Amino acid sequence: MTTRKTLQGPACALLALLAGCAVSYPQNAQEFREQAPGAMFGQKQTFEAKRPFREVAKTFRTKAPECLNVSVRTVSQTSNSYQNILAIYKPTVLVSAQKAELHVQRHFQSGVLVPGKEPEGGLYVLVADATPIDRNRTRVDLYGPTRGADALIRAVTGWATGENVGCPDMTKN
Amino acid sequence: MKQPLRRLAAWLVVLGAGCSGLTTYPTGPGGNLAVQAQMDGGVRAALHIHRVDAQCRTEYQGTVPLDRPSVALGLPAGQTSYLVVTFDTSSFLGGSRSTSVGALVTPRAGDRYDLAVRYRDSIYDLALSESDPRSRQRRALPRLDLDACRPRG
Repeated sequence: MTTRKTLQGPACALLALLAGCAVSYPQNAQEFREQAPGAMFGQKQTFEAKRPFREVAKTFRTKAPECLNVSVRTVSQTSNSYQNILAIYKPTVLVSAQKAELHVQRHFQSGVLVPGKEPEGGLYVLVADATPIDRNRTRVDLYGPTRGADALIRAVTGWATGENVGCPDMTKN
Repeated sequence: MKQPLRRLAAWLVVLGAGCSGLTTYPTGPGGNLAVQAQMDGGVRAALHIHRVDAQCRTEYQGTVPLDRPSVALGLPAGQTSYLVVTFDTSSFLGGSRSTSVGALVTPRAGDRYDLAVRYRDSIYDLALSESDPRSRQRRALPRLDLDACRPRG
């Protein structure tokens, strides 16, 4: 699945500014969990899904590859500049008896120079952990950015609660 | 508008339609596929129909704009089709954005198919189901993308 978006100047300027900051990125999901809540634009959300853990894990397994194996092309053009960015998203779902993890990574194939070491598969965008509370309830911890991933966070929340199993429009992230 | 300007405008419309490369796919009652669309305001959706041959190669057949709540069209029975729905949005600061999602389907003769397309709050959904008018049984079909196609023969 390929998506495409055309951005205007301000968003591109922000990308350029971010590209100018040399930072050390979380190299795995655990580092992302540790760093996201304390980061300036990071957060941790926790909620309870009134569904059995097994169903939440099954939904993660089904929906993540269906919805998140996408590439997003961003084309920005002004009177004196042109940018063409290709972002490739990679979902990973790990399920054990006591935990279901969903990791979402983003790799810029072209158009963005990522300073510093990027983990294999791309920079971590979101990590969701589902753990059983009892037979019919599941705790979900979501680690991600405070802005720029609203659709993704709402979709993963919907998958966990079972209230909305649609796919996020990744051009909105 | 004066006559020469009208002519010019008409020609521009014709030229524009020709340059887009899109062909209108025939719609109307009696088809085996009923499409229901629920869209946020400002979202333009369209259904693009592609024929899939035994080698999984696609051939574009036409497009149906999903600008009405429901539309019916016919897909050839026994022939695999690849249905692609595109969602186009645009805003002043956000620019224009397009997302697409595809589903393979091989209609069986006599069966009816329903495609529910939804885009709400930046979350979209595509649900395809098959029903046998004789038994009145309906079953949801898994959404298979083009990479699920396996060459035959």
